[in-house]
Amino acid sequence: MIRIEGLRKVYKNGSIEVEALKNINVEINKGEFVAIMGPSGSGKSTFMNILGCLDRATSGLYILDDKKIEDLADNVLAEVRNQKIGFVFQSFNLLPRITALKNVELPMIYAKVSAKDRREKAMHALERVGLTDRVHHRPNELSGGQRQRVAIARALVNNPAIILADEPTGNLDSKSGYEVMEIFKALNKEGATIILVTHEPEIASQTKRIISFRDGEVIDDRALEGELVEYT
Amino acid sequence: MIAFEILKIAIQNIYANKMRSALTMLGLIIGIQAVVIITTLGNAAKADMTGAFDQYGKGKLNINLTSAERPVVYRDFFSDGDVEAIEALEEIEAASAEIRRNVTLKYKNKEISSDLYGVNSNYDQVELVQIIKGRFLQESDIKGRRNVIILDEKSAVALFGTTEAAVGQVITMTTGPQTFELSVIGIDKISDSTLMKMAMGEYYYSFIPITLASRFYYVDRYPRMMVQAQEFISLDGVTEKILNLLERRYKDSAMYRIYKRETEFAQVSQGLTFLTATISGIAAISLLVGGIGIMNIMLVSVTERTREIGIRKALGARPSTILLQFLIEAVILSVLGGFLGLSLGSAIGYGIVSLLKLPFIISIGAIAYALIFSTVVGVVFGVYPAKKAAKLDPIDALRYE
Ligand SMILES: Nc1ncnc2c1ncn2[C@@H]1O[C@H](COP(=O)(O)OP(=O)(O)OP(=O)(O)O)[C@@H](O)[C@H]1O
Ligand SMILES: [Mg+2]
Repeated sequence: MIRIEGLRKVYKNGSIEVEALKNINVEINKGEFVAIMGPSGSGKSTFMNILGCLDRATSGLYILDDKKIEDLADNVLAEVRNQKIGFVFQSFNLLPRITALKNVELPMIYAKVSAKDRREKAMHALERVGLTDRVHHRPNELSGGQRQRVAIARALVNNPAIILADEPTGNLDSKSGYEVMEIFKALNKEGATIILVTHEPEIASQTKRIISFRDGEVIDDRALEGELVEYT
Repeated sequence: MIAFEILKIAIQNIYANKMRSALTMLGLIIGIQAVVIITTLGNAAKADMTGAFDQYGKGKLNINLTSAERPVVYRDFFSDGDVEAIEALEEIEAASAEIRRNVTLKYKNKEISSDLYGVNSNYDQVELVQIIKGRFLQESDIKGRRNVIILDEKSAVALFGTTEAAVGQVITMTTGPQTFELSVIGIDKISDSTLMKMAMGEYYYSFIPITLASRFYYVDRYPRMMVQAQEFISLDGVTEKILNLLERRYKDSAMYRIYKRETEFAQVSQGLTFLTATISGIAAISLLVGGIGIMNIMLVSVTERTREIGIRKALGARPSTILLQFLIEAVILSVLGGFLGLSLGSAIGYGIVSLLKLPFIISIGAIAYALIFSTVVGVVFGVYPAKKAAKLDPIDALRYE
């Protein structure tokens, strides 16, 4: 489903160039549950942003569902983000002025879903993350764990092919982090492809595959629970 | 569908920043309001003038002497015979000459300076005369050279306090070394037109029989004649005929200028239109300022909401959707401002116009113009900030602190 070959990302700030990713080659299949680990500054977020079509690679190949992402125009990319990808951020990134329910409805507005269907699906998504009682609260009236669950509901509401989560438990206490992981595990069991970045081995051990980054390169890629992983 | 959702978002944003939105609109409100007030006043003035013209300007000609060719001599003046000959023309309904002098009118200890017109009894056919008390001059007053006078209502009030008290009283007229006693037989209403009244200010006038004036001033010829032509007749043709007639009566037609009231009114009306348009144009500059205000606030808004834009883009909003969202917000602000300006301007314009007793005319054209113009302002000044928002890179926008 995801194929990445020779991916590079260079940040340019004036005359200073930072090579955040150097020659990454990864393949991720449908239904996988992947943890990305590595020290700070190793390029994990950079990698996730490219996977999520929020940023473009400097060079290399990224194929998502048989589509070469670098060839796509901005409008098509917006559609890919909307339809194929659910992104969960460390800092939640909810719109502060609207309720949890409305936040979850947002991706469906851009998918041109009718108001009635939007509400229904948003309620259903919130149900899946166990937040039915807080749907009419605004983000600042929710705890960190609850906010992240709203963000997950928003990420999964359009039934995306992959859910990307950059340190989803980074801002949460261990109990909330545990709850979030339970949701991810359940989603994966239902067939969702999940890729998450984490610093905590505890979290990573709950996934099925760990890809380790250092200095913009993949230094290790192993399957857990004895499951077989093919990689190029 | 999505446009409706975007509209909702835009309205919510405007509502969430009520104070700022109101201040943003203020420039446009004031600008549109100014233009509306000025056009309302201009239209009112024009309608007032047109009303006055319709009442007594149609088919009227003034024949004046001119010294453009050579100095005027006494035989160039109009004799009674000339007046009668012109009146006898087929196209002419009435012709009437006048003698005009400035005199002093006195009653008891009150005195005013008045323009005294020596006129014929048919003068009311060539000029607007509206007698509100008593009567106008009659054939017998002219023939009998009676010592009678008609005052305008303001003179009557100035001398007698009320128009009622004036009729039947005897006043003293002083002209040069001579003094005469005249009895007041009628009061003439001054113009219905507010503007004419304003223009006349402290102007007083009065009428006496032309025969009486002839004797006071030892003249039997008159410097000016007014003519009422038949309705629906080409005034150019009539002018031609009058000049030919004067020529046949051994007069030098180069010595006369014939003015059409029509032309004079048209000129004044044109001037008024130009004036209105010019002042409106100047006021319209404030619309530009209003537009810049909208652009400024939209730019601030785009910066403030960079993160929101990033989130929306991450969730699948297209650049065009973001563009539309900010553009619609700018247009709502400007159209709302335009609408408020239009309403306020109309209300204030109506207030002023009714105070001046001028007609209130609200034109659909002006309303459409104001609304279209404010929409255009919103689009023109909203496009740049909206484009800026649309072009933001999603990841940069998300990282924005
Ligand atoms: N916008 C940017 N401009 C310039 N350099 C950047 C930018 N974003 C990231 N970098 C650099 O790229 C490298 C990789 O950064 P990245 O954020 O991907 O690391 P990370 O693995 O996510 O780290 P962390 O665990 O702290 O989140 C770092 O050296 C960082 O300084
Ligand atoms: Mg990171």
